[in-house]
Amino acid sequence: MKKTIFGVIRHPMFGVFVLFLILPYLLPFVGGYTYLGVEVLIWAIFALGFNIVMGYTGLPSFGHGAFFGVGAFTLANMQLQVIKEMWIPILTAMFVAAVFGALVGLFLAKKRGIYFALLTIAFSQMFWFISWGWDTVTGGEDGIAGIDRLPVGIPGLLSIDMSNILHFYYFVYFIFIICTILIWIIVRSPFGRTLQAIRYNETRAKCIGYNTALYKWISFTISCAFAGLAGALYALLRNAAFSDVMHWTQSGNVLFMVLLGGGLTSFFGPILGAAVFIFLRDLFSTLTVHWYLIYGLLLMFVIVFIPEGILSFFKREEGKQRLLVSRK
Amino acid sequence: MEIIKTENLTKRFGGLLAVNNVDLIIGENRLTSIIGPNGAGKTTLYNLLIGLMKPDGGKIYFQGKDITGYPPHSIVKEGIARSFQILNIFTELSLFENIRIAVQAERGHGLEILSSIDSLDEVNDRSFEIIKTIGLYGNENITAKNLSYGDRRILEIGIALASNPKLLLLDEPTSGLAGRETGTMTVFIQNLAKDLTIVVIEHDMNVVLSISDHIAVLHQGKVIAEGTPDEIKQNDEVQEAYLGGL
Repeated sequence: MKKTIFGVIRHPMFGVFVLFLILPYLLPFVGGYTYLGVEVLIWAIFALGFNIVMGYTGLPSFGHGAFFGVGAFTLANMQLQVIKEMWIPILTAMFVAAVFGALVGLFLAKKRGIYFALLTIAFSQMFWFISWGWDTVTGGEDGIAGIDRLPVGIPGLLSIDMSNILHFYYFVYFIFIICTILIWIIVRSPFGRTLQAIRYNETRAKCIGYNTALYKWISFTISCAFAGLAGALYALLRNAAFSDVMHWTQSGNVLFMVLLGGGLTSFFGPILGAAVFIFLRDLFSTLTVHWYLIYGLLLMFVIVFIPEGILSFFKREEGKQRLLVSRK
Repeated sequence: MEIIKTENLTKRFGGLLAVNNVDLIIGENRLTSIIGPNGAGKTTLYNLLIGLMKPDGGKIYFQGKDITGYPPHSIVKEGIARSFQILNIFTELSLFENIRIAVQAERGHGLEILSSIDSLDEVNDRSFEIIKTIGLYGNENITAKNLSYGDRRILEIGIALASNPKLLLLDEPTSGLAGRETGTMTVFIQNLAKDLTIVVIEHDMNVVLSISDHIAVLHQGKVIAEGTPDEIKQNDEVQEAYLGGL
């Protein structure tokens, strides 16, 4: 028992959770505010899910913003038209994004590399144009306002006011913990290992018996579910869903976060990437309206000097890997 | 008893007939070598047998069952595995992971999404067993790209073995190996052949003549001769096409 507790505390995930637990109280010291912390958590969920496709399966998707948007609009419609509640709209958003992901994934599953990338861009642009024009569902140019962060709790027993940003922070924090553990389990499962095998050598993966198209399709669908979840939380945070949530720049942002943090080599890279991205954006945008320009330069710097992301500095000894099972 | 049979198997690349109406029968429980000059269609033949390419004509039967047009992952499940001439391992994964990922496929655990791979004892035990069989025990945690070339060649075959095949297709297993390593590889293949049907594509004629029970000669996409090593040595057409008067 002692050993188990010690193991949990030593686990990097524990450190991440503790850090985010106290983050709202640290933020004021670095010029931040709670809203920013919520944004980091939401984008961390998005980026971790995205990394299942990008980092673990090795499929460069440039279209995940579309599913982020699907999540946001689903939540908006669910809450304004179906049920004035939090959990059901959030879970529905996740589900609908997964369904859209599954449908788009059918066209993508047999593709790889540049063909995969181009198709994801094409689909995300399609989604964006539709969202722009489909007034009844997305509010078109105006978007959908009036989304409420409704109280969450146990009926009759406990009700927590979510319009308070600190409460909402811990609500998202709770979801973030579940997602992180879930994704951690997924990438370490036999399924997750297969995704990595496909990333490194798809032909060989086929030749040892994996229907790689099926695996890629499932991986894409799962990551779209997380994108939808993040989109729903984002709509709640902003109390609105606008077409910009579907814009291709959202796809670019999440991709940048993963590369920046080191998602290609580290599980926690996307979380760090999301945090650095959001904080720098906040910092730069107070300096200039052209903050994307600084990002462009930063992206170039990362690709040239730290192609494996910030966390690659902490990589373990080259050439050997940990063996987690005892030798027989 | 035959294990695999092709009928009029044909594959074209534009105007080039890479595999031209090949009727080939591979016997069970013996080691068959396929030889032929570069461009004779040997690797293409393998790609057809394993489903990486679809034939333009003809049929493939494995243990009497028509498997023509099956995708690679289904063909492996039927019991055919291959190694590659150009190393085709998971370079970034450890030796252990390379083997385990193949064992996991063979045991049908690939789609398990919420369990831990490290707790699948039967998969892990079987992986260690294979690593012992291929003589690389003790190197499990070394990243595959850091293994010596000879060991990577062995691993290449190990991955195929992990699929637990009934028929193992080896594509130039001694390619790039130095003299002593070639000897080790030859013995390794001979040991495997004791309880496995093996087909080998090989250029090294010393290896071919010493390990084969049966040899098929491919030339310009056609089988021009078949027989025991002695028969092949004495075949004039083979001498002409390939052996150059051995």
